[in-house]
Amino acid sequence: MKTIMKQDFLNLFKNKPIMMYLVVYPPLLILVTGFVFQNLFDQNILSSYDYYGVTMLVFLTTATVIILPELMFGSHVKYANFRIIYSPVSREKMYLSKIIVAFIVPYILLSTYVLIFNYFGIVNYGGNQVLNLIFIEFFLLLFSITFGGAFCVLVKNEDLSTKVLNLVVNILAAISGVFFPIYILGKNIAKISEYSPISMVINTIYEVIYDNNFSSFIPTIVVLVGFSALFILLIHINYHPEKYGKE
Amino acid sequence: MEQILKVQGLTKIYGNGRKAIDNLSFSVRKGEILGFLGPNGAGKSTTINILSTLLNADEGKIVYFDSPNEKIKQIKKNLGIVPQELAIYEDMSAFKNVEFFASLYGVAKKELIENINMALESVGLLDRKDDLPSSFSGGMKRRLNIACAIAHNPKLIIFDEPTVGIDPQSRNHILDSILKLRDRGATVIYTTHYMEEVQAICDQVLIMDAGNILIEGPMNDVLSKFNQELKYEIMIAGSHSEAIFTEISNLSGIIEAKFENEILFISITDALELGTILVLLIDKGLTILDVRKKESSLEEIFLSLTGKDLRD
Repeated sequence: MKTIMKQDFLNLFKNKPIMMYLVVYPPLLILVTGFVFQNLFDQNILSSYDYYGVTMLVFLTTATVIILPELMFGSHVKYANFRIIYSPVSREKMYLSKIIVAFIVPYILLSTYVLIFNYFGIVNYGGNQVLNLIFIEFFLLLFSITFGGAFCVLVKNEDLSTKVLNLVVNILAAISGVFFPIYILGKNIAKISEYSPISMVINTIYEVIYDNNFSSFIPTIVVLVGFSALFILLIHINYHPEKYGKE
Repeated sequence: MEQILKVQGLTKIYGNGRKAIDNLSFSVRKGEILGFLGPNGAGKSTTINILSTLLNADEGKIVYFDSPNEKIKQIKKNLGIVPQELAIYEDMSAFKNVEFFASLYGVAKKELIENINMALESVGLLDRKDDLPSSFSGGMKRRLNIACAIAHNPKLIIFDEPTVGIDPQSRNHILDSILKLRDRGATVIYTTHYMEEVQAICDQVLIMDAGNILIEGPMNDVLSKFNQELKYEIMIAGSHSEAIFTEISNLSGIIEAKFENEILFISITDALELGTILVLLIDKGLTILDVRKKESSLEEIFLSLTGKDLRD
């Protein structure tokens, strides 16, 4: 498994769009949205950097859904992955390696940005309690990565999966108040948005950071872990690289 | 001789009830090259997928390497599969590609470098080992595709159409490489639609269609079975009447005689009949320009067995 993981790391690092997304986008998105919308927020209550720091982090984490499909069936690796299935390496090790790599790299990068922004006071990620956010980030990322993988092995098409997943994530993000506070659109819309998993995570983070309220913390993690387990099960059942070998 | 593969009564039925392969039995002995042929939809890919352990058969038994109780992991370690697709990493050097795939088979570190170099050397890529496949021609990529499948020294190598869309030089090199692998003790199953390749390198041939074996055996036996009639083309010049050919058709030992475009096509049971025909033609004042013996090629045998109807 070490050999495959090493290769998966290389494949991910060589994937320029994804690495660009993970390295450049997070600071850019947080700083730009924080700067552009600063007049909409009362800096004494909640600054635009604090608001968008959290929502953009959640958005960026959710958008990692496209990483696992790329590692599994991206055009550069699809057929080479197909060859691995002939080797004595088990199918489980093949997809687990990809899940682990798809998880570790974004987790390290996003957590690093969280720690930097928090340390320099650019975004309030909880101050001394920043590890709570990094902890919940762990489970949201696991949810996103495995969701992308499960969707891809069901659709059996990496290109279509990426397009659909991007659309789903963007719609979910919009109705969850990632780009602007959803209450602007009215109470009813705000009520509906509460059912979105993204919204659930954002609210939990705000509660932890600003109210030191952990009542939603464990339930949110349980929901994310439950869905992640379901997605891993779907991947286990449907991950058959040989079926993607011939088009 | 050691039996590397013994397939008995293999049957695979798909969800719609269609039998992709039906009671397939054949064997391959050590050091043989088996040409595995069939038109599209014959059941070749299903058979190859079962032999590669990717697919389970519904009925039947396969014994690999003369060991009936061999574990799947051990079987896979001794199998080398050259897929039809270019299953390589384009942005990793040829050496690194072979190294990665060989490592998956648990090749010991001290043997790894030697094996990689030998694999690259046998496909003629040793001098380009540090180059990226993205800079290779189609033929070179195909050769690297082979190197990645042989560096772990498999006992049985399955080639799935390895010469699709490449130049004659690369194709010849690949065929030579396969013969060298055989000489080194490997056993090969070779699938292709290019019959002349099979005729050139295979000792054994198996032609299947609709899930069944149509013919199987040593190449020479299959060719001679379809060449029991002696066929000749006699090119003649000079004026002649139809009566001459009627006379020839009526000679004893003539199976078939027809005349088209100044060429007389004859099928006879005994080579001695040829002399009688030639003497008759000369006696009638005709000039014989050329006499050629015609043998059925594997392609002609294949088409006569599987028909000329187009397949999906």
